[in-house]
Amino acid sequence: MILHAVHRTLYEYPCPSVESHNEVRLMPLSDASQRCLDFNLEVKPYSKVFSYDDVGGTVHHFSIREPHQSLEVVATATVETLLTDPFSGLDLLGDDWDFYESDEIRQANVEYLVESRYTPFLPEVHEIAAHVRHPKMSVARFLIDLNFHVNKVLTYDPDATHVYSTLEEVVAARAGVCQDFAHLAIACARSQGIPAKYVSGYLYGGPGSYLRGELATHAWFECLLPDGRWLALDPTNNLLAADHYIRVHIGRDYSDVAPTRGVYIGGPTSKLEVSVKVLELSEIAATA
Amino acid sequence: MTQSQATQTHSGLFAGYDLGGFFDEMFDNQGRPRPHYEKLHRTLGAMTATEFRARCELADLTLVNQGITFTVYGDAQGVEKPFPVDLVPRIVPAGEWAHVSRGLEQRVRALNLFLHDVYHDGKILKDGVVPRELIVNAPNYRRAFVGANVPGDIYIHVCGTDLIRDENGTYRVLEDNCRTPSGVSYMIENRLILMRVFPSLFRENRVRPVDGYTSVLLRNLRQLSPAGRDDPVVVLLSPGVYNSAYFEHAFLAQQMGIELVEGRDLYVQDNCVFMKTTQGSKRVDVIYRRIDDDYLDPLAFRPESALGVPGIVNAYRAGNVALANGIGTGVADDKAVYPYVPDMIRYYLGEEPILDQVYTYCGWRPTDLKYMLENMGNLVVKATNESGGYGMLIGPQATKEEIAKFQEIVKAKPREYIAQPLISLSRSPCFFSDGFEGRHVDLRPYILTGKDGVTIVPGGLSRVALRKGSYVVNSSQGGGSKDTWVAVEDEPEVDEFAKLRAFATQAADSQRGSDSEGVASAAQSQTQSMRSAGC
Repeated sequence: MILHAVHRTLYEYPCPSVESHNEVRLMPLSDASQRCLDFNLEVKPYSKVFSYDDVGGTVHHFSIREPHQSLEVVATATVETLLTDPFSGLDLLGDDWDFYESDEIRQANVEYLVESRYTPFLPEVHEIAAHVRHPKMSVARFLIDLNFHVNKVLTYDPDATHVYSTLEEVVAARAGVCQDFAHLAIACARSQGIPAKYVSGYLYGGPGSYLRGELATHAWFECLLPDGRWLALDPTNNLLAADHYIRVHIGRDYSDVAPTRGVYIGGPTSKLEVSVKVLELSEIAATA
Repeated sequence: MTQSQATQTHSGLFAGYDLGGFFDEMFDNQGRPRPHYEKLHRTLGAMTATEFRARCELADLTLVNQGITFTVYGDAQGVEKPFPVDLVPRIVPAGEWAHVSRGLEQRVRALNLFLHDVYHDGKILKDGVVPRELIVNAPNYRRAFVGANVPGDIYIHVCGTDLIRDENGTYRVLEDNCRTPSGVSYMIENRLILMRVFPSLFRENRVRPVDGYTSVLLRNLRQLSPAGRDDPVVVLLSPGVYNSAYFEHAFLAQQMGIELVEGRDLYVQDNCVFMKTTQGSKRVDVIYRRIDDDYLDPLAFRPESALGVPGIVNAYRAGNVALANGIGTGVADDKAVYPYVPDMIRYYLGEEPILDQVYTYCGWRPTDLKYMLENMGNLVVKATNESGGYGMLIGPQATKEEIAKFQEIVKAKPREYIAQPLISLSRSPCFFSDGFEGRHVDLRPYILTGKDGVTIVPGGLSRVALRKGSYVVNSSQGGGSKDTWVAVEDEPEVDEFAKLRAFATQAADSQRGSDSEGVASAAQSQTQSMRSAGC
């Protein structure tokens, strides 16, 4: 599937800001499951844009030193996604957990196995994992059940949490957004010794459908299966991620993948608008 | 004979000098001065307390006048304190120093290769020589810096490695400081003070100078300059006057003739670093930064830090400015990584480590953990993660309750603790109001790495625990320092002929007769260096 994404971020400041230095993680990845065919980043006021690659993807950065009262960042990408059937080849029956006992596997993935700022192993995390896990079940089955269970435990509520909410706050509220669903699921998977990564990206719902997270940046998680592949699951929508997902950046938790991050001198931001629009190429052709 | 010799040894200001069962830098275990200390021992032993006190007063006056201070955090008495200097120098014979400096060079070469490796392919981790989890989960590992290239593949331009000597006098590495090691200004100032208050000692002993340090550092910094920037602008970036090492930042900048700047003096534009000056902006090429990674760049690291320069890390990554030391060097001096340094040396250099270190039990190794828990009363237990609140336990000085409590802590998080046997540090004579007493010392040499290789200024900073019985040499906790002398060449073995010759030299000296050429030139270089420092 060829998808076209437009991600617009607008900051407005009541009094002029200066010395604004920003990093954005907005360019879709190119790997075995998708190819970024085209990417464009536009910054207003105009600024020269630089980039580098980190462990989780590509980072663009720019500085605006002159006084400005708004900052607009528009990322446009065309991506070919290739994963049509995530269920294909999944082992849903055998007990394959001994894979994670190898020290080699542990060492190679250890940063995705430990607690992090957003994924502490709270008592609730252990409770959920124990509730989902049954003797002799396969890892893939456990993850699919976990995805379902996290989806049921939390209520989707954009007003319940904010970007810096801790997992304690999320489980206390029993509500949150995609970031919170993903962190809770990651903590549960890691607590059972399964390496788990945080993924930020976009979701294409298709004409007429409405999925959570479609109109903003989305987040889900990926786990290392005993067959060596990473299975992507979206607990917010209780789905396995397939070719309607665009992966943008990967990390240990949100702090590694924040789509926009910056520092500036000035007053507080009076307005922040984020919008994401994903279309399939054929739809664009039809409307054109 | 032995009896009379012992009496002679402990006469004058050395009367009653007690070795205390420790390895003493000046005396052998029979109480006889070691050959390389003979002249110094004779000169000091012949002095009266009044005479020595007068020299101390002169030294104190110099310290105050020159503003040689350090800052004690949270001290109500005033922030700035003079850094105490004990006037009895510590002498390292040339042969010993050759061994130590070869070992340090080897160690720093391996640590630089290690940093390049862990921020690139991670071969040593894949080969299982160092457990990968100790690196990628370390608080000072900079994940965002993986894949970045640095000039000459050098990460640790300035390393301060702490050495101790055990009960047999064997030098052992206690820790490396690969981030922003401080103290080198005291090394340089201590020499100037000693030359001022004890000029005669430098006529009797041939001592290798230390004042070349700043020239080598400046040369190395200039060589880091980005391509095409042939007359580089080099600056020293300090956190400011409230930092405990601010005196040193100002001292080094002044000695090197470079600008001393703070974060607010610099800014990043188009991925390059500029300095605000009264004549407008000036591009900066090389930054000797004395700000830790965490506070260096609010965009890359702690966003709340106001000390740093936003965007500077990306400018460094792009090769538009050089930083010394590099980013992420804290994984090389991590307490959990220390036990693996000897294996690193074997892995990267194919050599056996020249310098010993302190045997370390690691909580993440099951057999070590068992030993730690069973023998905690004899061990020093340290948390590997500095931010951990439980810090450290000195087993032999702890109560049963404290040990029991620590056993529980270690059992709960064994991966976060290491343990070492308590090493009795060597002692060196220090002056206290009416005579000399032994106090524990360590030695921090400063190892400079540049494009031309490794340079180590002979000696380093000898830190001394001035409180009786204390092992803590930190300046904030009652520590002081000593001038450290590396002899130009070793004294010949003690035999009757050598003793006679030594007496003859002394006699000639006291009559202000002509010294040997070597001695005269040593005295000359001393005056030059005093003048060049403008004191």
